[in-house]
Amino acid sequence: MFTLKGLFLLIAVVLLLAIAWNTDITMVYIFFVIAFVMFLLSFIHLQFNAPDINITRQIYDTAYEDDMLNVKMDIYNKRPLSIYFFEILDKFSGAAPDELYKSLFILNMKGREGKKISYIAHCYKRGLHRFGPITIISQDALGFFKIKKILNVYSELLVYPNLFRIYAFPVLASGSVSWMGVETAKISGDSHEFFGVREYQRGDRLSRIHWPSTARHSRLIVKQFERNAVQEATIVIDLKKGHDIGTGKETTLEYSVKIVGSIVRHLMNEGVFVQILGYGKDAVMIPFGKGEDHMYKILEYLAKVRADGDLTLSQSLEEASFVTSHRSTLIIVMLDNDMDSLSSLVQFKVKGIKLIVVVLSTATFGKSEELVFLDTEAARKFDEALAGLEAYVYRISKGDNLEKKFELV
Amino acid sequence: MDKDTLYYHFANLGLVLIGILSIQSIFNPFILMILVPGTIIGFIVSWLMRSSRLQQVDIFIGVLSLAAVVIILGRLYSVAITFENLMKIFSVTLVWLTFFQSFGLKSGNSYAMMQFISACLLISSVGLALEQETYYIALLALYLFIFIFTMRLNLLCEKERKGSVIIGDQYEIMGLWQQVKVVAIMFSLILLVASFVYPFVPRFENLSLQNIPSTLIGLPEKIPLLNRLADMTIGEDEKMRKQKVVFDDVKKRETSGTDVDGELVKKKKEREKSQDEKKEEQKKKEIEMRFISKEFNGEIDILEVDSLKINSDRDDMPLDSQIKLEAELEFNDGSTVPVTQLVDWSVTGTAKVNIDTRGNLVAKETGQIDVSASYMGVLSNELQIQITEPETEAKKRNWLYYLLMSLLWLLILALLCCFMWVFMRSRRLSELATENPREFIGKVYLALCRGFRLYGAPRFNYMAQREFSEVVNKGILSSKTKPMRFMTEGVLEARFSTHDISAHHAKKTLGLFHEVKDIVVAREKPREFLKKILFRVFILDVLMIPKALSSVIK
Repeated sequence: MFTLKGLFLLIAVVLLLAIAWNTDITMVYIFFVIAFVMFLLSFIHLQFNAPDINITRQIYDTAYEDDMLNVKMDIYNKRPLSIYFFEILDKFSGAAPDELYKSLFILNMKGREGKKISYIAHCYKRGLHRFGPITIISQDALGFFKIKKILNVYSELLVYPNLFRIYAFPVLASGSVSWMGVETAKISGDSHEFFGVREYQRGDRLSRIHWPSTARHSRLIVKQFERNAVQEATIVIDLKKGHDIGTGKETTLEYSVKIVGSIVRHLMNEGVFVQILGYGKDAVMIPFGKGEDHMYKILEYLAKVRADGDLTLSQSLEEASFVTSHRSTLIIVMLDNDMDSLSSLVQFKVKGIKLIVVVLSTATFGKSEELVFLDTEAARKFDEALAGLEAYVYRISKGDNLEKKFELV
Repeated sequence: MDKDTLYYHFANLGLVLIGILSIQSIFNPFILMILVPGTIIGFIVSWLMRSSRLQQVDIFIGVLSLAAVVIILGRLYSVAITFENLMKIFSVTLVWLTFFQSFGLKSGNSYAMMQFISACLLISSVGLALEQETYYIALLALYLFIFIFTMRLNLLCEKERKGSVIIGDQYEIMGLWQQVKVVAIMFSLILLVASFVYPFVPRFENLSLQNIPSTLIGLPEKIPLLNRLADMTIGEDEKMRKQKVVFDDVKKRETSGTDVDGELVKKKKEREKSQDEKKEEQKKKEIEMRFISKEFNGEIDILEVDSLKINSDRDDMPLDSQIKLEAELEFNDGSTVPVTQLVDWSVTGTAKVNIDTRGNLVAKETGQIDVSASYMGVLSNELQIQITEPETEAKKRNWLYYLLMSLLWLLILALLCCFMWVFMRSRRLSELATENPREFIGKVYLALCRGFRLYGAPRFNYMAQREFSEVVNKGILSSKTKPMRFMTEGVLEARFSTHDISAHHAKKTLGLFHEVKDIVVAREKPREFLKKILFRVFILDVLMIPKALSSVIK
């Protein structure tokens, strides 16, 4: 295969021969011969320099978005001859669009020699990504020709979304008594475990009076118990096809995933039971759970999730209403022009479910053919409806520092 | 410093210089004096600006290049469109383009363009036959060597530019001497194979463009420029054949006096008539001269002779120069014999000329002449030669001119050497900042002391550093003495302290150096303009080190 330089040399060879024949100038003949010989020898050299190599790749199975991943490679030259100046192009689908191919330029490899090399790959975007295939490009000593060889060496990598730290989050609904309880509600009364004693207050049940302490202090002292309760949070994200506005990493879906992932990590670290619902192409519900395994299950789902569903967020909320328990918390991430979803949220309020709403400002993410931006009047109505829900609201625009947005409550 | 890129950059300069040198004889020496050092400076400037180039520079270079191309191509209106003129204008355009573009070299494409231009210049020079073959062979060998060097480096530089990770011992494989060795082997191999291939290259003399279908459909006739080019390159075309018929006819008439073709005679008369009219216009009397051969070869059998052809190396010449005429007898069997020394030359026209036995035609007057030759009654074709006014500068050139030119060249070379020396020194100092910061700090201080001598400061070696600093502060820096004092303390620390002196100390010293320099330059004293310039020249090697030292301190 010719390179551009090789093509120029070929044209030069032909032109020089034509000029030489036409003018019969000896020097032009000499020029032609030199150019022709250079062309010929380069081609012959290419045949000797074509590498026959084995490559294996070692990487971790998972990484986070924006991580720098160390990719290790073992290369072995199967030929007895040394090879010079060849390029290895390793494709990584999770890299930035202009860095899909990582180029490694090997200066030389002796015959039957093995080499260990490594390079750093930038995990640009979440998802299940693939390394490979590997393309080997070798060329002659002067770069007039090159040949490509493709090695089908593949590796898979799951890239979790980039999470940010949440310093403060609104208090969730107190939760319900459960045998699984881990969080304790510090109230006196219906409780199972002894918490302490305090002075009697009006309204305390007489059965709670701790007589030995009362005798010791000469005033009424009551026993205080703590109640085992569990806090639950249900998270719903909008996966309707066409509701992902923006390009690259700056889309509403990417922001949603990042926010949801971070909230999940924060809540689970606090011991909250979290379930997640997403109605994409396949309806997925990851039920309440706790622990690292559960968190990584959710993160894996978030890593792969796409906005390819048929149900709107409003319809998703209808479905979610069946699995959201009383005295729990519902967290949703929605677009700021989705009036229907606001209407669907009313039923949750009625059920006593605490609402935390993350509203993404669609106008800042770009235009969408399917969605219509709200005018000033409609936007005002949206805000009023949101206020009526008594929900805790986060408003997020493109480019916001998310860590700062979730810094204070 | 990226050595590979540096070598690649200046290897390209070598190629460009070879290109310009090959074509140098068509340039006025004064223009050449702008072009050669200008291109070298262009390469140096583009190297220095490679990391921080203003966007406007590209626009400026582009506009200048365009202007140069337009102005030079504008000459096509005033000169005759001949192969030679076209080649010259093409070459001049390329040289000026090289000059301007050399200031804006950055990407791989700009270097490739330089290589392409230099190759074009070399080929164009060969086409114009401006120099002797030995000169061209030397140039070609040099060009080939540098070209191989450049192409090898380009493989690496291209990958580096594209952000490839280079794996392998770069200093061992791409070291300068290793490179030179490999290139020398490749160069020898190419020459060796070329010398074997050369005898087998098929040769055709004067391959006619008329064999090409596009010319058969009459394209050259429709386009005057192509027509002229075809005239120049085709050895024997339609016009020549017609002339041959006329001369054959004259030959027959002279030998037998019969068989005159009426139509041809009519055409000839018409041509003569038009020539007469032209001559009348010129109001010059036509002279006919004959130059009889002093040698005669009786062994040539005239019955086997088919035709006699004459040709010259040019068809126009300035007065006081000469043209080489050559005559050749063509026999029935197709073989040819050079007979330049045997033929009788005949000249008709409005200018006085002289032709010696070797066929050298020397003009004594301006005008137009028709030259023909005859050998034993065989008449040759007719050559039309225009004799023009001599080139004005040629007249003026005397020993003073050459002396002046030589001195100017020497001066330019000296300046270039000086600049190169300063440039290399600044590179060395940059490297020293990381490798040996103690020495770097000392050298920077020394450079500053060198500059202070212009302002009457005593020799640095003759007194203690602090004392020197006090003297300088009092006499030169007057009010702003802090930077010099800090710098002196830094030098003392670098020289005598036992703790580690790092590249950051070097960076700090460089910052103080610039502060001191700014104080000196900002002095508002009368008649110090020249001193300030000289001061900058004296400390130029340090001034050329990047202020932030970011390239060396990682």
